[in-house]
Amino acid sequence: MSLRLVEISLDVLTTVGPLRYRTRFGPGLNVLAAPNTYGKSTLFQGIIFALGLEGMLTSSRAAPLGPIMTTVADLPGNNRAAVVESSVTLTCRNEAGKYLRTRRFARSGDVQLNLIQTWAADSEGGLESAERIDTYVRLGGAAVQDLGFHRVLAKFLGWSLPKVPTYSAEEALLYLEVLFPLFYVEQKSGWAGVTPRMPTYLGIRDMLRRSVEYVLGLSTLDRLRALNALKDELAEVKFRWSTAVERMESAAAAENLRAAVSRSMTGQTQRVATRIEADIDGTWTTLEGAVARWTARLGELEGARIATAGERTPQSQVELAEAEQLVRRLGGQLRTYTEQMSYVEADLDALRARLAAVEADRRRLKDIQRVRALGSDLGVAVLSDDLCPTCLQPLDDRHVATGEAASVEANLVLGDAERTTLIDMQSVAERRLADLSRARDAISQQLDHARGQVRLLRDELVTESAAPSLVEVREQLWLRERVAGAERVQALVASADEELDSLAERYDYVRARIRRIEAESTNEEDKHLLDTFNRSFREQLGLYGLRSLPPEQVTIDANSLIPTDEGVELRFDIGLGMSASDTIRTKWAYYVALLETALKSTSGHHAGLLMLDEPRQQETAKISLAELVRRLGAAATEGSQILYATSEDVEDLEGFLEGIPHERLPAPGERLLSPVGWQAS
Amino acid sequence: MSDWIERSSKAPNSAALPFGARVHTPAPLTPVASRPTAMPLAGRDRATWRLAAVCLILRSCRGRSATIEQLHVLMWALRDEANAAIVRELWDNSTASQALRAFDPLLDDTLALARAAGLIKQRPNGRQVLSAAGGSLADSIRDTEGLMEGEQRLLAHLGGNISETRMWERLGVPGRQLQGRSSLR
Repeated sequence: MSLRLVEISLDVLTTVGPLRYRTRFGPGLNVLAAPNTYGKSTLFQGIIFALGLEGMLTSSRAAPLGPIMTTVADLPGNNRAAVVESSVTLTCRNEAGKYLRTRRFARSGDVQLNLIQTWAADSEGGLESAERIDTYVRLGGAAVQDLGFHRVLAKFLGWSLPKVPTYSAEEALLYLEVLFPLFYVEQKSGWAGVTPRMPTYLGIRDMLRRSVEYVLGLSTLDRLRALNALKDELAEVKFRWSTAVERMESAAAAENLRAAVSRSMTGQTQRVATRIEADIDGTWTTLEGAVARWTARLGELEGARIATAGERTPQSQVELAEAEQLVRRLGGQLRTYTEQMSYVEADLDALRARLAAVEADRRRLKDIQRVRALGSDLGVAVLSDDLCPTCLQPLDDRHVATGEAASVEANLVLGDAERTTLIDMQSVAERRLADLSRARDAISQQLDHARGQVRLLRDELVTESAAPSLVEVREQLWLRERVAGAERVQALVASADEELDSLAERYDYVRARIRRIEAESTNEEDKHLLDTFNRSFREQLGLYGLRSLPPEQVTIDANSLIPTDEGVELRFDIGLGMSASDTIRTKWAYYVALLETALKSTSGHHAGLLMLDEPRQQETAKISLAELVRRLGAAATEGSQILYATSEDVEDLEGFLEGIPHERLPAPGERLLSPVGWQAS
Repeated sequence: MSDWIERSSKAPNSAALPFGARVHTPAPLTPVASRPTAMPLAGRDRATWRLAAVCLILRSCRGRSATIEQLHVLMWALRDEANAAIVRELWDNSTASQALRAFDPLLDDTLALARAAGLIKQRPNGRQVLSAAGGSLADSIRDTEGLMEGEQRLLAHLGGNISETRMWERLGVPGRQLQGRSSLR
């Protein structure tokens, strides 16, 4: 459903008196022609402000309006006056013929900036008697809560905003601030770069692509949502897998056993049943084997009469010597393992520190990439292009001449490779540490047992000869405990193994569905829309006189939805032959092609509104501009509303507009806002 | 020639070689060539980061200006998280017996570049002051969510309006602590 601007009123109360600009908008092409500094941008920014959409331009919470609306107003006759109160009132209509009026104060002693007053009615006349509802904007919940203005506006437009992936784990709504950059190009920095400027601070992944998909109504967005749901399911399956594995490992460790189970998730074909092992005389053997051995020995002991201490003396003496030797041997082994563990821990510390440094540098390099974009906006060549500001030679991004420095991008690739290696080394070291720790625990337990045995044998050798042998009694008890513990672990592992089997099955199913969705080719409707988008885009490039490269070589990539030159993202680059004026031509073509295509889409979500503030930048040829105006006129007759602000020479403009139906927005006086009912002195 | 044995996957290992035999490694299948490769350069040594960091520092200093000595310490703190932790610790728990001074070897070049790019200016007394362009850059960085967060976090910790007097009060003055003075006057 589209949005039609009906009327706007900018009202400023100064210390000297009120100022106002009020106009109605026509349904098609609206032209505001006035010299520079007249205040054309104030009108456009006023529309954005009244719709609470300034977040599309900046993360700043300040009103995006100039001093005339916020601090000091220039008055006729070079006078100035302080602004006491100012507001923008905008009336809009939707495709169903319903009206919405919004009023927002840019400066006021009583009303906060976040508040938008709204009135809704079935007719324009009905707005006068409609009840006022106060809504809020630029606060949490503005897009989802009932009184959030962007929820009200989205409902008015009949749009249900989809959820899309962000750079964090959470999903976010495809906010209106992310869609409106496709409908409005502001003068200050909107014309920089080939693609629309997006509010990256919102942290939405592939922001431009998601917005264009929604505006054109491509099914890729639905596919993405299905894919995300499957990926969430996959994450849940993985979480349950690791929980089950941890449960098995901790149960085994409690009985001084070890579980051989895959920590990383596998499908059914690679799934191997868990193996539990016990340390028997320093060798890890299967639990079944160990249990058989313990049971046999238990049977032997239970089947025979318990000997007396006296009968057992010679044997006890031999066993005491053996046990003492075992204590010495195990003590040595324990020290070796502890020493090895401390080496591995030191390695791990070093690896963690290096990984932290690599990640910090990676963040810094990513920051550099973003600062470059700011440098490009601010026109600081040393930041954006690494050009020396005095000799204009390439700087190579460094100060010291110690060899050629790698580019930030190459450095990032290298850093990523190093990071992967470090993560791998860290996981190997962690595994080794876990193995050593398990082995040390097993030896420690054996040592305790051996020490206990030594104490027991010494006691037995000094005890009464007729008393039953404590060693044999103790061994029986120990064996019973081991067998019972092993049975508990086996039962737990059997049930956890069943869970792992069903998780492996679910893993295969989810992976197969993800693969199927990813392999799905673009559907026919999408293909048709993308063809139309591309055709219109290239046709316009030809009409506007793109010179840097042949128009047929430029395409809108079906995946990224940005203009590319033989698969490489198109950007302003003198080195690659893309001139600044051709960047502007490409931008015109992109916006207009998107509007034309979206209006043909049955499931598209274009507002049917395009606002271009001073599109003639970089001394773009007049002939190109004439073609643009003709194209905008054609789009307007197809049902779009277009607002076009320009400071073109009057005669030239008359020539461009000849034969094109349009409305001229009033531009009286020296400034957009003029005194009402009082004479400025 | 019978003494030479070609090394291959099927060749016996050296322990099994007959006495006097030597292993001959075959020539590589492709020609070996070397070429100079661009060296990786840490983010903190890159002009872009350094210029942005200087602008952020000056934006956080009183009157948007600072002395070279202040800049050396703050750039040193910003370039490494460990350095930042030292400054933060001393700033919060300043003692009369400690003084921190640090040197950033690339600062002179950074300032020369920033001056040439119009991001900063130098006053006759040698203080470096942020220009309008530098201020816009610092503001843009502050407005961009998630950009240079660590650096901004440290500067915010130091108070956001760092004066020279306050800075040396917190970080100490070399020499004074030896004379037993407890604080600056």
